Parts: sequence; C-alpha cells; structure tokens
Amino acid sequence: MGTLDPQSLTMHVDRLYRAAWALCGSREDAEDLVQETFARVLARERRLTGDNELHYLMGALRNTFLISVRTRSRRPAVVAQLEDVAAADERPTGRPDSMIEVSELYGAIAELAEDFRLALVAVDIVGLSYREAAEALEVKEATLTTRVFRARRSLARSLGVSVEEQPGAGGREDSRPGGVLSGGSQ
Amino acid sequence: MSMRRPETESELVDLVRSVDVSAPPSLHARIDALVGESEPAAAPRPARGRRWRLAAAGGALAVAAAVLILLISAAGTDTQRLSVGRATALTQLPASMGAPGESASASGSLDASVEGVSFPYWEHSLGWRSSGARVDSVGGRTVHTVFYTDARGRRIGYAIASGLAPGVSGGQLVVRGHSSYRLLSVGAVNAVVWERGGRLCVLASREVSPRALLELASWGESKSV
Repeated sequence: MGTLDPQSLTMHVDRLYRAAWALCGSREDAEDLVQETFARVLARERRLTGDNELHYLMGALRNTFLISVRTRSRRPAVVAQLEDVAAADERPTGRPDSMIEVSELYGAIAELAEDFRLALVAVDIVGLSYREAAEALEVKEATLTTRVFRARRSLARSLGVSVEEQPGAGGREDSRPGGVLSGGSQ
Repeated sequence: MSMRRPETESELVDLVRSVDVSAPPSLHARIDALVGESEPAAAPRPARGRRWRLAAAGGALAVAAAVLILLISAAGTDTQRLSVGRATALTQLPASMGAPGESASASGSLDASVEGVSFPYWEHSLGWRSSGARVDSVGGRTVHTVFYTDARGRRIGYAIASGLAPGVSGGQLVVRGHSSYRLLSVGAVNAVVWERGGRLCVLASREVSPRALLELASWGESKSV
C-alpha cells in the first residue's frame, strides 16, 4: 500500500478533463468538476491499495460528479435563456455531416444514462481495464462489461452509426477486448 | 477539433478512445496551484473545509494568473528571446493546425520540417501518431511544434526552433552517440532538449517520463536527421 503522490497527479489532468467533459457535456462544467475532484483528493493524505493512481482518480471523479449532480438536482430549475439555446441544425438536408466535433461526441456521451456514461468514460476515455473500472465505479466486473456494451450501442444509435449485430450478443459479452488501454500512464 | 464521422460501432469506439483534447492551461495552472498548496500536507492541517478551500482558491487564482501570463507571453509575443522554458511552454498549448502526414520522400519522417530538420514519423515503429501541430514566433524565430499521441491517450509535443540553437545548461546531461541530451523539468512538464542540425529541439510531456522522452528523442535523431 502506497501513498498518493500529489505531484504525480498532475500528469492525469488532461485525461480527467476529457472524462469530465464527457460526463458533464460541457467544457466549463468539466473544468469545475476536475478542479473540485483534485481539491477533494488533495485535501488529505490518501493511501492507494495498488499502484494505479488513475483508477483512484476515476473513482474520485465519479464520486464528485455524483455529488454535484445531486446538489444540482436540489436547486430550483432555471429556464434556459434564449441566447443559451443552441441553433437548430442548419444543414440543408439534415443528413449527417462527414465530420464530427468533439463537443458533439462528448455531448452524445453526456446524454447516456448515468451508469452507462460512467462505464464508457472509465473504459474508453480514461483507458482503465474492465477490472480497474469496475473497482473505481464500485460494481461487479460483469456488470461493468454489460454497461460498456450497452453504452457503446446507445451512443452508436444516437449518433446514427450503424450497429454491428452479432449472433448471441445479448449484452453480456463485449465485442472488443477489455483492458486494451489498461493501467497506468507511464 | 473535427474528426471523421465513424460509420461503424467499432470505428466509433476507436474515435472515442483517440480523442486528444488537452485541458486548458488555466485549469492546469489551478491544479498545479492546488498541488503546491497541498505539499506541506505531512504537517497536520489546523483548519480544513471552507477556510482551506478559500485559501486554496485564492492561491490557485494567483498562480493561475502567473502561469497564464507566462504561457501567453511564451506563445504570443515575438519580442522575447527564445529559451527552453518558452519552447517547452509552446508544447503544452493546443494544436492549431492539422497533423502532418508521413513524408512521401523521406522515410521515417513527417511531412513537416524546420530549415531542413524534419519531424520524425513514429506511428508505425513506436505507436506515436502525429495528432496536430502549431507554429509560433518567439524572438524572431519560428517555432514549429508537432503533437503526438499514443494509444493510451498520452500526448507529447515536439518543438523545433529556427535559427542556430541557443546555449542550454542545467538538467541532467546524457550523451548518446554524437548527441547530447538534457533532461529537464519545467514546472510539471518533463522535457528533453537537444540539437539536430544546429536547431534547438524540445520534446516535452506532462504524462511521459523523462527517460521515455529520451528514448524517443534519441530514436528520432538516428532515424530522421
């Protein structure tokens, strides 16, 4: 068991920022979420059960995110101002463009159900293995696997991407290997 | 940042995994300030919670402002002399141009160079693909930076400055073949500094260790000069 080294955490800021952006759907909220996560983690000495800071940080990010969601839900709802409303798609045919922006991609991820979103972010954006992601999100590895599978499928459908139907693919098995991007960052 | 729209679920997963967006410099500065604030953590903290958070936020803002000024001055002004610190700061800014492709005429090189010194092509051999670029001017010199990303989403910046390289001192000196490399830390950024064809080269990253950067720098030296 080791102690979390504050200096070494700074190397994960970019990755945490991408994860936070996909969770929140907004760059501004992502900045706040990452800063709040680091503030919480650095508030006291932390002990690691393994040597992977990244999966510890993912757990901290998830906890901070859930707290912020709950806090926000207790506030009175604010009706959007006219200038806040995004313009409708002006593409003449409504046909998907050949390019996609990060904001559109992360915006679509942010629309996924919370459990699916967290699973996809942990595996595909943070790059944790399924085992690490399951620990960070405090779920069983089989549950995590199913959530990643369904999250990818939901995301594909929301972006108009063709879904690869597989015989017997009922959500229990993932068509892609887990843990391809596993582990630390050095 | 625009990317090709995926057509299959598999391409979509690859796309999600390959997005290389850096946090804004202001956020890095605020996190650096929080880390700096936490350094005396070994000693018991007399007050936590709201007072600590307010103090941290105040310190963070001050340091963020200072670091932002440093980054902006490094990136945006042409009146200051080129230094390793300024070249390194440029490697931490976002890309403003598309990624150069592999050179059709020079094996092992990208289709980007500064005064005959080309950027290496690392994707096939080392798994680092070029993901963007930017060009800045510092003290009358052009600094061309190419960003590389690996499968784990780590990002490094490779800067080459035009004109004869200024003298560099400090850091850990490592000699490989006919080249001398200096391993430095600029804030939270690891950097390797050396010369190729008389031009200053800086390879820097927050996520990659100095030794790994050295391996890349020395590989590029032998393969692409």
